[in-house]
Amino acid sequence: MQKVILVVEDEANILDPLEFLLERQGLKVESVTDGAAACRRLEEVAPDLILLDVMIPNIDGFEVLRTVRAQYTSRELPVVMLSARGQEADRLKAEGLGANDFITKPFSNEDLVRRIRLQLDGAGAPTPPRPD
Amino acid sequence: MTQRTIPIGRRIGARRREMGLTQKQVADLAGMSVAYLSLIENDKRTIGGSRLQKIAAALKIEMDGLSDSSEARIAQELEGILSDSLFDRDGLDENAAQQLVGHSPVLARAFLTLYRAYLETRDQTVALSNRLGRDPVLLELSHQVLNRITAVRSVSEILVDVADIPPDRERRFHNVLAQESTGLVDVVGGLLDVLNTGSATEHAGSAADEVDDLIIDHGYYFPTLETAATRIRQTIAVSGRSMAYALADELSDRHGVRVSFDSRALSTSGGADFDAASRQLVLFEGMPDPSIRFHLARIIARLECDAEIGALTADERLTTETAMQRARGALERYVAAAILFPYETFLASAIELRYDVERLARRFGGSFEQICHRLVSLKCPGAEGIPFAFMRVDAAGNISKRFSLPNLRLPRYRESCAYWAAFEAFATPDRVVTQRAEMPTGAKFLMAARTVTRPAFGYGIPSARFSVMIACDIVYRDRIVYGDGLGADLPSLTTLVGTTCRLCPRAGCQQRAQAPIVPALST
Repeated sequence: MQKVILVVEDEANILDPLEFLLERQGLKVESVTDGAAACRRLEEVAPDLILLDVMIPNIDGFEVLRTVRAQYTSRELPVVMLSARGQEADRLKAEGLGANDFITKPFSNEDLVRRIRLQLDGAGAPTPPRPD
Repeated sequence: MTQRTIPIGRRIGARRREMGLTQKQVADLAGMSVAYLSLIENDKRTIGGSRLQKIAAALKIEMDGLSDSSEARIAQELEGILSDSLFDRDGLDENAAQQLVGHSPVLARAFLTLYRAYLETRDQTVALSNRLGRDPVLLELSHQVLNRITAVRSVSEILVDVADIPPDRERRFHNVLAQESTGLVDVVGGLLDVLNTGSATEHAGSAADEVDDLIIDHGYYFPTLETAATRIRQTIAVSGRSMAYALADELSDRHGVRVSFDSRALSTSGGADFDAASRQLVLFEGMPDPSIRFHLARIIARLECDAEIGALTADERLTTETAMQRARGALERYVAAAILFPYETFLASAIELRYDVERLARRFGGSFEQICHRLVSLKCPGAEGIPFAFMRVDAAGNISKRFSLPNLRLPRYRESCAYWAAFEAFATPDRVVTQRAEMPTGAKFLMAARTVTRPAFGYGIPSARFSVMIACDIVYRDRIVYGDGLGADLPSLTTLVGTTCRLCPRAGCQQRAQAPIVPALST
């Protein structure tokens, strides 16, 4: 069964390579460019994982995460946050709201793919914080 | 079509091995040391001219078209770049640079251009965020830089790592690189603009701004909190006792809160520490009476108006936990003021005393600042007081509290007009300064300001001083004590002011600190 990833990212030039990378992993990619659309399409897409940017229009990533976590646990539906603001406060906030992982921009493709695979293959277990 | 080539040094090495020659043999034939040939083969040295010809002769091949050493230089520079910790997790090996140059020298050059732009932008961003770290516009620009770099990095890596990119996709990725590098230039331009102008445009970004928005949108009047304060006031048995005792009793009888005084420095600048768990309220020893009463009333507000305050802070304008906390604090203070200065009696006294803040302070046992604050909130429909603007500013011009009127906009951060009464007040501490002020629009206001001082807690400890100002439309001049003597529309009685230098068109102003961005108005 092909796994589905919902990518929420408003920057087309970031979304483009992301889609390419994830599709090469044999994943089905559904992408939306704002928070409201993410919430709206959640049920229909029924993703196996959400890759969620923090700074997106309408409803920000934290709010989307809150909405997702009101319905699914982190084991049922892993959420990997993506943020250009690497501050510890954001990371902690994401963690507190139930994000499975938090990746800062700019990321390396290999690292991103590895961490997404980890969530998909590891049945959505939250990863311990990286010692970096 | 890009010609697929490998760097010249590697070609020399490959050709040599193909011919079954050792480095020593080729070096001897070409008249150079083995060590030097080794450097050449590893592209650690560029090579051209007669040396290249000698090697070409030794290897019996044509080296034409390879004498351009730029590829080797690019490969060398790339090698250095790829050692940046930025790429630590990418698993690049020592041949990555060579591979990229081999794959497409043009793309490799573009990679260099982008990396340099990235370095420049990164340094710029770091410098700017250190300098104006909390500026929302700068944060937005830095965010854009990071996003653009993210796209560049991700796409570059794909182009380097993936051999079989479909042609249309590859074209799109090249477009992304082109777009983002142009975009980076624009963002850097934007960053420089902000740096040069020193301050960015107004933008609701910080928690304090969000709380301001909430309060201003409510017109600084909260009927539910007034009702709650009236309810609390009725339960407090004030008669025949000082207010402070009545409040302290209310706290201990109803809530089990113990009030004590301590001379040690407290963790909050306000001089009051409340621990909800242990029900302890510690106040700084020697705190002025109005402040003691205010702190006591505020804790009562916190304990008894949770529902009313919670309903108001569940507001989409407050986007962060910090903003919610701040809003809760502001609303607790509102209730405290409403308890200490009950609406109806306070309004009646204000009218009777013609809004003389100092006399009101005496009658109600409040501070100058508390009374000014309360005057602003007299907005109950059908029982309104004079509409006031309010501002608290320090001598350095930092505005820490503000409430605008529809036609008197107070600046959001700092850099207000130096001619305002608020600043004049610093020249005569503890005395009310009044002013008939005329805005560039022709609108006229009465302004009254006085300094307030938080006393020093001991020798060698600095005190804090602010100027607190209220302002109202000139039409109210007869109803307010501060209008006495300023009623006549005479130039000699009128001070020409503005809001901020940048938005003030008055040409020839003696206090001008910044060039105006609006058309000049000769006065």
